[in-house]
Amino acid sequence: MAESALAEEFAMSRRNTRVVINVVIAVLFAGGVAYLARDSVIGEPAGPSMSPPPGLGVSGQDGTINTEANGIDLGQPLAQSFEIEIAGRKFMLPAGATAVQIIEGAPVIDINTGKAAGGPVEHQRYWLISLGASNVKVDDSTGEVFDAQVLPQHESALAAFGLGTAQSGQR
Amino acid sequence: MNRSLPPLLRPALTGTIAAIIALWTVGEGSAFHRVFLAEENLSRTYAIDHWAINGNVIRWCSDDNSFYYSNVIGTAYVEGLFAGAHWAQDCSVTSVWIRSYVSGDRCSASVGACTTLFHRYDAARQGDCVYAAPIWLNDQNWEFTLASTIAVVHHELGHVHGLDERYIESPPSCNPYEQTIMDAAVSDGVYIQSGCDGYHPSDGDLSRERAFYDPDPAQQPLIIGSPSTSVTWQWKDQDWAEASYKVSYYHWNGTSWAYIRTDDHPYAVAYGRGSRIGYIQRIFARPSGWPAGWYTSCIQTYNRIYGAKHWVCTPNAYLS
Repeated sequence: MAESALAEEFAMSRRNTRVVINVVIAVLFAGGVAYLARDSVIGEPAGPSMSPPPGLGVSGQDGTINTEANGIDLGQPLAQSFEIEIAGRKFMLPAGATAVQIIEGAPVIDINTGKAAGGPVEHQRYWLISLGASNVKVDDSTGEVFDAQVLPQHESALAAFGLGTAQSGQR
Repeated sequence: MNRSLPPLLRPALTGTIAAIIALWTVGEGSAFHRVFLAEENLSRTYAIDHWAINGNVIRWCSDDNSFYYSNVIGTAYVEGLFAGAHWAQDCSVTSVWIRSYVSGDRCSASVGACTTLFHRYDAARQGDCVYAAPIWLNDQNWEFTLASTIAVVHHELGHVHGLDERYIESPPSCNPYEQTIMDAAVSDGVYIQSGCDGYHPSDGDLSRERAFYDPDPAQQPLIIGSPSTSVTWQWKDQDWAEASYKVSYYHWNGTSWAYIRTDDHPYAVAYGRGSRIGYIQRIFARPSGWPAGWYTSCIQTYNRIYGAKHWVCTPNAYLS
């Protein structure tokens, strides 16, 4: 009985070994086929050693690409409404509006007093949004509407600027 | 109720989400485009787009062209900033006006000058840039000397070039820590005399300006997916002053790399600084007439000021 069990275990072990060998052979065969299928590759090149092709190192103005005519000109009355982002806040410019950015110059320091001669510059950079004779100023660094001179007929068009909370005449 | 996903579904779901995110954020042939910052808090400068990217000369005009050419525009600080001619005096079509303040126009009374930036939104690049920059000298509220006129115009042109203010803001005063034309101006009580540090841009100003236009190399090139008859190469776009990436393709013939062609990557105009990084992908298919084998590409960053710079090669890809 014991001999019979031993013989059966031995036979199973041989069968398992044969299965493993067959699997290994199959894997090797498949790998070989895949390798040969890769055309006549000898191996990956070590790395690029080429230099830039001639004509690519030329500097200077070698073209006349001029995109000035393309795009939406915010300095001219807009044909349709357009969204701009100022300091993370989005504002919808109505059709007919313009938007320009103003950079106020540096303060002038009076050497006699050591202080700014014209007083501090409150809004050093801002956007001037205009619609007809209406103007809204938005601080470029905070997105705050700090000045609004809006005619009644433009109030609804410029409502996106939160005119209800705007402070006027801070210029 | 068991809320966990079946074991096989979890990786599938994760992979799907990752793929959706990848497809959403990295489109073929696209980059994140944004409005650029030349220096912190100074958005949308003029000259990078105009010179470096589009290769235009800057047409300028003024109230006194002879004076401003001799003392400002034609000097080493402006025209001499880069090799070649970049400024052209043209009062018929003008991008930069240097003029006396007109009553009721832009500057507030407290400043000696200001600059108005006219923007254009470029849908192809998904960002806006400045196409004109009138500079106003506020001679209605201030008296200028010749030196202070030069100083103030250099200061405003610094903004056009992309420099931000460098005076002490609170309370407003000269910056004792560095030499720069972007400092405040000084007055003797009657005249604006000069800038705090003289009336010319400093070496530091010039090197910062030059650095703005100097394109950076493509970063971390790699292969996306598994190459077959084509490969997708990707690189990080940390640049912000490039006109394009020039991508050259090569085939390994067993002994050397054979040049195939060079493409301009379109719309590779990333309006932004290195802090906001985009990715660019290029799909390259094995060209007809070229055998299966190893291929690679090398990327140069290009703009009109510096030409093509750097030489970054992607990993090699085997194309069947």
